[in-house]
Amino acid sequence: MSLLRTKTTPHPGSLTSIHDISLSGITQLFGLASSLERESHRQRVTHLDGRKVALLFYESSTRTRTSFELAAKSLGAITTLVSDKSSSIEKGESLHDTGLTLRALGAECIILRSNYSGAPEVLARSTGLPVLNAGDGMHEHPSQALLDLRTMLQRLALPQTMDEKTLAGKTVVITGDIRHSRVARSNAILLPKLGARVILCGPPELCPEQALDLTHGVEIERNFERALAHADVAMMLRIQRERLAGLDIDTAEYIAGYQLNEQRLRKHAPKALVMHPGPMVRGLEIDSAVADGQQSVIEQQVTNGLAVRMALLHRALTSTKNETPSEVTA
Amino acid sequence: MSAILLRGGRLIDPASGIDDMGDLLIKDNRIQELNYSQRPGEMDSIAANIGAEIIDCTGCIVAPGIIDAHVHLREPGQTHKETIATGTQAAIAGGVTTVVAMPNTTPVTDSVQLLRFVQSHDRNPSARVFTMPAATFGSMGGELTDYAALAEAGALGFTDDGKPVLADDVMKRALTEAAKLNLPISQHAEDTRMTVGASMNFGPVAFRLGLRGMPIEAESSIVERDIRLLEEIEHETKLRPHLHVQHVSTARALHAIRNAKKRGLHVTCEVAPHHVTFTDAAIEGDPAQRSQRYDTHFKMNPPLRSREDVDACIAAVLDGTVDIIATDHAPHAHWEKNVEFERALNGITGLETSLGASLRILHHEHGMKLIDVLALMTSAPARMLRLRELGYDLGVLRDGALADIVVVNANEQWNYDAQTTRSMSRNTPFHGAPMQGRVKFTLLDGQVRYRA
Repeated sequence: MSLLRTKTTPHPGSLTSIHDISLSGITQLFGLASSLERESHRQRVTHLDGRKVALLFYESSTRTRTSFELAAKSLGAITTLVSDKSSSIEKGESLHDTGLTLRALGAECIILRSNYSGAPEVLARSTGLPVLNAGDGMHEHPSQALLDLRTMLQRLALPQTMDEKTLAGKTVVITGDIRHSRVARSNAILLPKLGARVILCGPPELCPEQALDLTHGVEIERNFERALAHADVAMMLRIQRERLAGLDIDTAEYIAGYQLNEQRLRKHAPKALVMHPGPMVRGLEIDSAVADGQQSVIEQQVTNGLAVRMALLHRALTSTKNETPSEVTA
Repeated sequence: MSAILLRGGRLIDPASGIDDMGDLLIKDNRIQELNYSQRPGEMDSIAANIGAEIIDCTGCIVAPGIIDAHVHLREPGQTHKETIATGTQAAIAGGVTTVVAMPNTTPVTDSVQLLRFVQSHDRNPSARVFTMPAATFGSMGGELTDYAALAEAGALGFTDDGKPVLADDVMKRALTEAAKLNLPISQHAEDTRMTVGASMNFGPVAFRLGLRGMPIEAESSIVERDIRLLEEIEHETKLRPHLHVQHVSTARALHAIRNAKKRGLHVTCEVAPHHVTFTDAAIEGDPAQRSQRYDTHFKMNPPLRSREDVDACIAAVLDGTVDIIATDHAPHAHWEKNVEFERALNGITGLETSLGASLRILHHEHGMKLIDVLALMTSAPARMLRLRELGYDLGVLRDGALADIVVVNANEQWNYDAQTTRSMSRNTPFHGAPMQGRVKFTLLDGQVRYRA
């Protein structure tokens, strides 16, 4: 009934899309992340002591799942992991029912990874709980965009105060499988809001013209080396074999055109930060020497994931829901 | 014997083009007499003599009952969504007196026995139920069903709706066999090879939402292919096959249909009210369209298209390329829609909102004459389906015609409330949407079957 008749106001602690958080909200979030990072373990565990957080993972994950779980535990929360391989999901239980079950068991926040775009919206509407999107299909991965942003600000020595000029004059080149990437979408929506120039790069089948409609202020450059020449940040993406749906990519050709290797980096972007949301396919989109090289901030991204997710969980479990469930006005 | 006098209404008969004040007398199941006059009451004494019930139609239009050529009633086999009884209850509440049931039931309506089951009075219908049985057995796109026997049992045409008849040779044979019986093949035009895994219109909205899109070519290429087949058949035989294109949603398919008509081919097409009302932007969450992000009540097939395609559909209605309005009423249970967008079933209900949405968009917003909008919903589907030739004098206000009639307050502005639906399902994007024209009475076979 709720789907149709009542327009549930989204929980203010939810983050289903990067659209859901304002620049001032991000400033606050990053401030919170920094202060939580500075605290001692004893202090930290008091924040969400005994609160219940469910991790609902319909897709495999290493970084995102572990960092959300460690973030929750660092703040004293009790976590439980439900994955499709070991639960009633396998028996065909719907997301709606799984959400209600978790809520009935006391979950106060659900972290969801799903292979279906928009799944967090369904869960948020069904449960009324704060839902953190840990990646939904090809749609978004908002916590990844936030940790990427925090990493950029740190490494480019920029203030952690967000406004439309924070990244002015900076160019971020996102290269690879834009089409199937939720990381690309969240970043391409977020970064221009801070004044960054975002260049999307890749062959047409992986980086279609429609990507220009993601938001104002993104460009497409097919020539990787030309794009790199502008880059303050080179963000590399994996080709998502699991989502290609019959699309045939010539690996050798792709490597020739778009792999970030030492030679290219030295020649065209000797100062750029190299980022990758993982998992990497070494030797395909990125060369090992670059992944492990001086310019790589890949491990720092992962570390920042913990801080940002602590802050997101804190926000989720301390924002109060304003109780104005409004009927659809006729 | 029963009699009813519909007194003092504005009688609109799209078939004859008459649009005038008057009284209409019904005796038993037929229209006895039409009396056009500015002074209502001239037939009062006749009515009194035969003991007719007098229904005051002041301020209302009196028109033929609506004929909806594309409806899913879900029976047999999917009665958790709808039954023939509930679906036709929704129909008469929307002023729809005749529905054509699609065959994607469980099992698929592909035999005389199943067709008779659907058309039986035992199903307790409140409206007239016709069927278009499956074009191929099980709608599997292979072997043709027994067209002659199905036609004999009352089939109005053949369709595998929900799926296309994809193979060229099968479609050609289907058109040929149906032509021998003067019946249409009604095609769900979708090249499913281009829509694997897709759940909405291909375009920027789908890209932003991370959803795979259905390209417009998936629709238009099948329409173009079917038109080529018509030409081939006309060239090779003396037959004149009839292709009916269901729920057209793209400018490109409409372009092909417009040209085929100019070349004299027998092509007809329908547009659904939702395809002239909503755009694919609704799926991003659009307050103006009363939608939420990933709102599965805006998911159907063919999908909602871009503004350009919506405008092309409206233009094609206005210029006469579109023959009829049909709803593709497709009820689904709440739990079948309350899932991830890509997993949600396609389809929305439409019988109760067909007239209100059509008048709102086409008449109120685009200035199409009332009589012309009504024609698309009454006389035109009757003609497309050859109802008169098949012995059903429907879709007209004429002495002796069957008294399936709707009385509508055409000026009433209102908002649809899905809570009040008579359908078993509530999967509609029109909840809260502004409507124009409210059904006051629906008569079937000379009996009042619905009163607002």
